[in-house]
Amino acid sequence: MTKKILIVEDEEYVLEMLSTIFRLEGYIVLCAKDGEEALNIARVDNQDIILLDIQLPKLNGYEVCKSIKSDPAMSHTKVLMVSGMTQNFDRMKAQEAGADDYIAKPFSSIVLLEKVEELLRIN
Amino acid sequence: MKHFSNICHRMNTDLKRPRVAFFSLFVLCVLAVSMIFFTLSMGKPYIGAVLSKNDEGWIVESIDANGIASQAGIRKGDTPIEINGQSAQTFLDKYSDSGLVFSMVFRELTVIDHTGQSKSVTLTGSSQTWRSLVQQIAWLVVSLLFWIVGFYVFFKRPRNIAALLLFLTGLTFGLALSANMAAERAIPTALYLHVAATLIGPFLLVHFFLVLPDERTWARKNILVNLIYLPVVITLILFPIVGYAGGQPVNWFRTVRLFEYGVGFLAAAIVVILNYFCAVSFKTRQQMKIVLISCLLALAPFLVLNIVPEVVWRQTVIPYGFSILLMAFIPLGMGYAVVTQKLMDIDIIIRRGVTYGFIAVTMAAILSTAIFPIVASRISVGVPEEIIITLALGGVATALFGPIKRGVELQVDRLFYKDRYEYRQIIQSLSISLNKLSNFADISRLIVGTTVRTLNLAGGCLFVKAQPNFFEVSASQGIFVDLNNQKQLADLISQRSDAVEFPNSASTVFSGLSFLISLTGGEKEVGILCLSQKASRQDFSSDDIYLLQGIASVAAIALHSAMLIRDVSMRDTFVSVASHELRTPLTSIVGYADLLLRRDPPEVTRKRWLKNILDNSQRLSSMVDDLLNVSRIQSGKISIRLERMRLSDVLEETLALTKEGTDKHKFVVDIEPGLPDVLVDRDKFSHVVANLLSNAIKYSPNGGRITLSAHNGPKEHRIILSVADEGIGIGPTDKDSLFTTFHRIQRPETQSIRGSGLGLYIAKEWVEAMGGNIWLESELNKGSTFFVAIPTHDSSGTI
Repeated sequence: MTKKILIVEDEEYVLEMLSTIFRLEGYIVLCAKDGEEALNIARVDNQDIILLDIQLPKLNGYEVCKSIKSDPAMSHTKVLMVSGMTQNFDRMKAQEAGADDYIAKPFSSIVLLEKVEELLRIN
Repeated sequence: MKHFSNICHRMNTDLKRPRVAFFSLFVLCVLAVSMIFFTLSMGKPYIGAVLSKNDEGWIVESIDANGIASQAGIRKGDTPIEINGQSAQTFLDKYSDSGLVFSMVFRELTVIDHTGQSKSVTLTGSSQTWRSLVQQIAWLVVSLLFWIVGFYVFFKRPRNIAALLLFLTGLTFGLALSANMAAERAIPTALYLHVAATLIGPFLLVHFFLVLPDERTWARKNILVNLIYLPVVITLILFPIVGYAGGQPVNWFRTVRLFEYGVGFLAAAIVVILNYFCAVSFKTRQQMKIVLISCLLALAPFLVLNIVPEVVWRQTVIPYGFSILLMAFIPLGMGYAVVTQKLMDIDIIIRRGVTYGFIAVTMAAILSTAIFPIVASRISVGVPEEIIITLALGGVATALFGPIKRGVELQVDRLFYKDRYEYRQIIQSLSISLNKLSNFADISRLIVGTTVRTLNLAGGCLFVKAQPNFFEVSASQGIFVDLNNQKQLADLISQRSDAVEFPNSASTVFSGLSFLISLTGGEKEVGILCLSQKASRQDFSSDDIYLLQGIASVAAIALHSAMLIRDVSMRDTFVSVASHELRTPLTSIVGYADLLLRRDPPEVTRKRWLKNILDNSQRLSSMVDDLLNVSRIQSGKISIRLERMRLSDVLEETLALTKEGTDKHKFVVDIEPGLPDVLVDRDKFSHVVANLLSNAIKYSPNGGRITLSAHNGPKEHRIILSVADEGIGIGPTDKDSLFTTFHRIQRPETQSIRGSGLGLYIAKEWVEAMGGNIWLESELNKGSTFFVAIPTHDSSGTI
């Protein structure tokens, strides 16, 4: 079954790159450029996994993650947080916000795909 | 020795001025007269008896214990029968109007007492009593001390009127004593000088205490203060005319003189008390304390050992002469109060003396109360009981000592050292409050607020070191809230020399400003506290300075630690933001490279991915450049190589390069013809211009006109360059922080605009380093104009 992924990223190049990777792997890809847009899409459309950048305009990644995880309609959706920072602090905050996993920029596409597939397999 | 030769030199130059020469002559005459009086009367006997007339005739009114009459056994109440070889009746006839005769007119005196026994004294051949000699020596010693102190103080503080008055008081004191002795023993006419000196003396004291407090400026400058001498002058003019008859002072006039004398001393005492209680400055209060203590030291033994025993037992414990020696404490105390800079130190000694005096009295009272019942009940105690009682009392005393000491100290501080008590409290509470704060603005406000409130200043301002050689205002109050004043202060700070004296009196440079206090924490200057004059325009006392030093050290520590915390958190933010900004393009590069490696896309897609990699590499590279520039700026290592060049060349070159990136915008160039050459660092200047142009392009996403212009500035040697766009504009909230690191405008329209947030920060630092400045005008949604003022080649680099 084709999996659906929502990629939330404010950097155009990165967004394009990520969507290319997932599209080529056969995912249905949805894109959002800020936190609010991400939540709106997540509410109307049901995805299997959300790739969520932390630094976003309007609503940051943690807030988006919290809203998704606290909404029973969406809480089953896996959330993989992506951050430009590597400090443990970020990882802990991601966990607190309810994220299922965490990956730091820059990453290789293989590691990213592995992480995503692993999360989806648990489902 | 050097000091002495300085004084001599000053005297030599001063003596050439007529006023000084006249004054010196006067002083030397007074000293000479006093010394002559002392020499003539020293060792000479005097009779020391006063005769007065009552209803039954003349009797001996009083006898001086030091005179030879007292030695010969003449007592109060005896009847004179023969004076100077004449019958007393005949001799005293001419004094019957005044009714009072002093012994200075006698050479021989014979009296009979109530038993009918006759006693006789004669000056010729008598030697003076030892008591009289002791007294003479004592007077001479005290006078000498008064003169020495007077001279010392006068030469130490030649321009201080209090010192001059103390000097004159010393002269008057010596003259009064010596003239008194001479009048009694050798030269009856010296009486006039004695009267004059004793009359002027108390009023000199009044004047002295009037001018002593620093805050009482009116008394020092106002000539009307001299009116206090008016009654004395009138009395002295009248004295030879109506107050003196037959070598004897007239009785009623004597009462007038004594009244005036009393008024003088009373006035001096009142002024001292008022000085103490109405003192605004702590210094005055301490000066008065010193004077008070020295008077007590001088007069209390006199009272206890002479006056009281004389009245009660008609006999003194020790001769007057010894007590008179203690009078030397008065000039010493007065001199110390005028000259010393170490009021605080002497005050500590006084406080300790007073405290332990009270402790001793309290302990003695408690212990005697304990012993009293034992003695009163007359219990016969044996040796063992005595030991027990002694041990018990010792234990009680030991146990009580601590609480009594604390209690007495507290009370003494509350009663006499209220200011000190509060000063200590102020520093302590400031230190505690500062420790609770970590926010820079709060700490600064607290420091400025406390200082201004405590010292009642017109204003205060704290500059905090933001970058090397750059201070910014972190808190201000009073007159320094005004931005113009702050600007003046900032200029003053940038111009001041490195060696800042504490406290650096800056009032000569900027009226209204009193101190620039350098706050140094960990050997580095962390801030500068600028303080105005007092709101009441009074001078700062030495204790204010002590308090300031206390506040400054507490403030410096607080600021230093807050600064360290801020630096660490700023560095943290910088590193994390920088790393984020570097990771983002890197992610794209890694991602596309990965895709290229693992996929085999069609040619068009492959080219696009490669272009994406290239774009992001460029972005990464310029980001690294920017970060390096910021790092150089923040560590103070900007290297600027100024060179002379034609402005239009640089502008056109830069514009040509920037233009390539856009086809939506229309560029207008407006360069005033005939502009002088500029003096800039070529690379850095074109970087700045390129940055402004690229911002103009980026922040006018819908296109529009971009105007690059350059004109002669309103000030000479200054060209103003501007870059105007018709873009999204900048709101007032962003304006202030626009030139700081990593500041980016957060608006929906700016989301897709890429930038490091460092460009304008670097531009500002570089332009300022080149001797120019940068600012902007902008209206939201209408566009922005950035201005850069740059020096021309002939401006010598400053604007």
